[in-house]
Amino acid sequence: MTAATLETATRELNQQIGLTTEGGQFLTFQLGDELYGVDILRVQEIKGYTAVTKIPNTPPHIKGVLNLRGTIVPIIELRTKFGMPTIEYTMFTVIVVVVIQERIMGLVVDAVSDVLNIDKKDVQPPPQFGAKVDVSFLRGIGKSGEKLVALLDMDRLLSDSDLHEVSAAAAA
Amino acid sequence: MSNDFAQFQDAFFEEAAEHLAIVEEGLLALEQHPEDRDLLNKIFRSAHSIKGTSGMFGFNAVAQFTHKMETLLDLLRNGQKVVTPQIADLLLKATDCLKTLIDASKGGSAVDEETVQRLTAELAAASASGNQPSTLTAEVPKTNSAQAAADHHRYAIAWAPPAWLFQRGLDPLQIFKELGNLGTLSEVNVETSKLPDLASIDPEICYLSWTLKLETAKNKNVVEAVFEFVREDSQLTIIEQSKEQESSVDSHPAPLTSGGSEGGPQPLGEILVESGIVSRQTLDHALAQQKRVGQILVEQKAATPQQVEQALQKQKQQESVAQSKKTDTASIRVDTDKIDKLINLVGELVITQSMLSDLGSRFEMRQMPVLLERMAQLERNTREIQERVMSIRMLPIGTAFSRFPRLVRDLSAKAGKKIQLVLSGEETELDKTVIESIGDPLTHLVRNSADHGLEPPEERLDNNKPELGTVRLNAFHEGGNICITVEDDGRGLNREKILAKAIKQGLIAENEKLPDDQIWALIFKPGFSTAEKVTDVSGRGVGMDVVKRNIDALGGTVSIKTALGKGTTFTLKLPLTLAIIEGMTVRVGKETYIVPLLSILESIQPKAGAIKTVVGKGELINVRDTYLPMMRMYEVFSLQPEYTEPTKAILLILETEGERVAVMVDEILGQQQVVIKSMEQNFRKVAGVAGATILGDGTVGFILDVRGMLEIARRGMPVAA
Repeated sequence: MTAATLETATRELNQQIGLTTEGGQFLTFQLGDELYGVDILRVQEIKGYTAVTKIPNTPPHIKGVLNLRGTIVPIIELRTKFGMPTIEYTMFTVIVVVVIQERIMGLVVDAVSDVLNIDKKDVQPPPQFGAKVDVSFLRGIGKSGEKLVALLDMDRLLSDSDLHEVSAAAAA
Repeated sequence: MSNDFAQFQDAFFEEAAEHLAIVEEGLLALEQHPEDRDLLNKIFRSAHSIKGTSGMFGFNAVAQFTHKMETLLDLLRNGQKVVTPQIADLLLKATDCLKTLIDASKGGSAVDEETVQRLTAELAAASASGNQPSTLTAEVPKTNSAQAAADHHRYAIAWAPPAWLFQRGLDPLQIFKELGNLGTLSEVNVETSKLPDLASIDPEICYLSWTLKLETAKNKNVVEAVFEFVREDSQLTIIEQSKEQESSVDSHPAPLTSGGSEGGPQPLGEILVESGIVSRQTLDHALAQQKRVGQILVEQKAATPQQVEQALQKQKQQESVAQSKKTDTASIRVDTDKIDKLINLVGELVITQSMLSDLGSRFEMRQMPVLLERMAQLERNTREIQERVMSIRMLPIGTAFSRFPRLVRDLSAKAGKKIQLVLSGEETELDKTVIESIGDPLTHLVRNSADHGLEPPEERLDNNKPELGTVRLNAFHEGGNICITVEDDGRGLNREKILAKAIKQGLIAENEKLPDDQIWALIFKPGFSTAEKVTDVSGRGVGMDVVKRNIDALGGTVSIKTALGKGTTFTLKLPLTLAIIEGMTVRVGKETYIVPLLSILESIQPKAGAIKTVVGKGELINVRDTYLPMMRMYEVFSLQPEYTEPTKAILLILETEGERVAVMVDEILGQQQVVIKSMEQNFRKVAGVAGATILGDGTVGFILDVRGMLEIARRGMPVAA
């Protein structure tokens, strides 16, 4: 099948199930009862959770590093990053391997759910809670039917202190 | 075709660099032995090669400049001029200039036009001042009609170039131009009878041959030298004629025998002419009507001239982009011998693999010994292949040393000292990347030795030393490492001076007692220089800390041995390669760390009572009557250890930058080679960790950065724990 016919077929299928190809596609995953979405183009792969090697003296949400076919990939525990309580890993716990600021990283999430098409008009700007809740890494809130999806801004997910070595002076 | 051309260009730049190195090396040697004719010939040949090839590639600035150099070299070679220090110096400067010109052709740095002009003039002046009239002709070929008749030679040259002429990127036109430079080319006849018809023509084969007449003041070997590059497989006859002979030979050009080419079929037009179907004029007229694609398209109104023009521009751009991309790729020249051995090994590996899969397909328990034996063979093969592949990246260190003779020569001239440089161990091989990165540190060290280390001649004579100072560069293997020493027989490091300076700069306390090694290590501190006066070579105190940093970055160490008044030796200890290190795997709790073997002095299990505390916290361990600071790795890295009691754990005595420290770990697992993986690629630098590696079970292990760990420990609290 050529690419053109494949595209047409996809569009038709999407229309049948009530999805439009306008707006972005998001891979959604669960953290507790909340649903989060990441731009599907940023997702490289999804793999089951395997033990990681802890990196010494790093913030707690940096879970460790993993050998992903010969490359060293840091793993981030999203629950800890978002200040949620940690839970025991289950068979649904997965690592979503994503590209953040040209780096390959893994996000530990409770479970992955669907890939959703969310229209531009269904995305509203992130809510403001004031200093109490940090939402700087949210790109917006998406609506998909009954579901509410918090869309992550991958490039803001990690702060500079996560990605650059803290200088001795700043740390002291 | 354009890509092929770029490929040739790359080859040209590579070759030019080699020739330049030969010229420079030769000139330096020439200064010592001005009478050495062989050396002069060698230099001349290399310069000539640069000139010839650069001309063919259209780098006219390079060709013209080299031509001036060559003129002077030729005079020296013929003994018409003698090598004086001034001339050697001028030629060396010209070589530098030529280097920048070639770089500029590559699309690199800009050329200082003024320098080029000045040196061109100086070269011309040096060539001209030697009162031989023939010198001038080389400079101004067009004036040779004014020459005395006695100087005239007439040569009839018959040249059938080899068939591969174009394949090697050689251009006959260039040769004729060069002949024209020698004198006047009165006649050039081309012999086209070997040309096959258009359909069967191979554009990369030369079917042509020529007969030429040359009037020149030069003698025969100069004319022959023009053909130097095409001599091989060429049919070349150069006959010197007296004027009387001239006319007779003239009318009957010597028939040329085919040089290598099979003389293929004739071109269609020729056959048509010969068989009388068309006249020569009709043929020429028809051939003249052959047009280029763009022109035809324009005429057929398929494209406007502007469009064609744009397309041509685009083509040009693409060419230049392709070229600039090419120049960035680093290449490595490998001994074919190494490749052949590798191929053999891969063959063996394939055989072993097929034997194993054969065994695996119908395996029974009783074949266990066979399996084990084959596994062992597989392991042997793999290890050997690894070694061989690594050895491909290995280059002799001589390439890094080669810049120093020139450096020392210039330094000695500048500082007014007499210095000899002795190189040894140039054939010692190490990784290409290491070679590339030690160039700068070594330059600093050599400069330092020549400028600070060695005393001025008067001072040396006063101290009963030979006037000639010596700087020695040596490289050798030691264990899995390579050692490079930079040694001078100068004044040595002055302990008192360094101490005074360090106290002044507040690096150490007034009455601090330091062992010698640590005092010498002070000179690596940024901004530290004991030179009384700052020269433009060194003395600003920036060199040595750069050396230290670069060597550290390579995972190596620098140590100093010195005796006052006798000299100083710097020893660089470097890993053979950057990609793989020899490490000791240690365990702390559940974590595995790799400690570079290079930094481990020994490992001990302390006895009860060997550990003392200072100020309640700082722990010291007594190792054969020396107290070393002890740190617990689990504390530094916030890990869960198995043992907190030092007598149950293992202490590794590590050395970094001349400092010794005992590090407590739970267990030593073993020694192994590990492949270094970058942490920065997907994450960032982690304090105390030099890199990561993949362990036998597929998990990640960290390589310890001893210095970094010390620093964390010194700061007291780990970062963001």
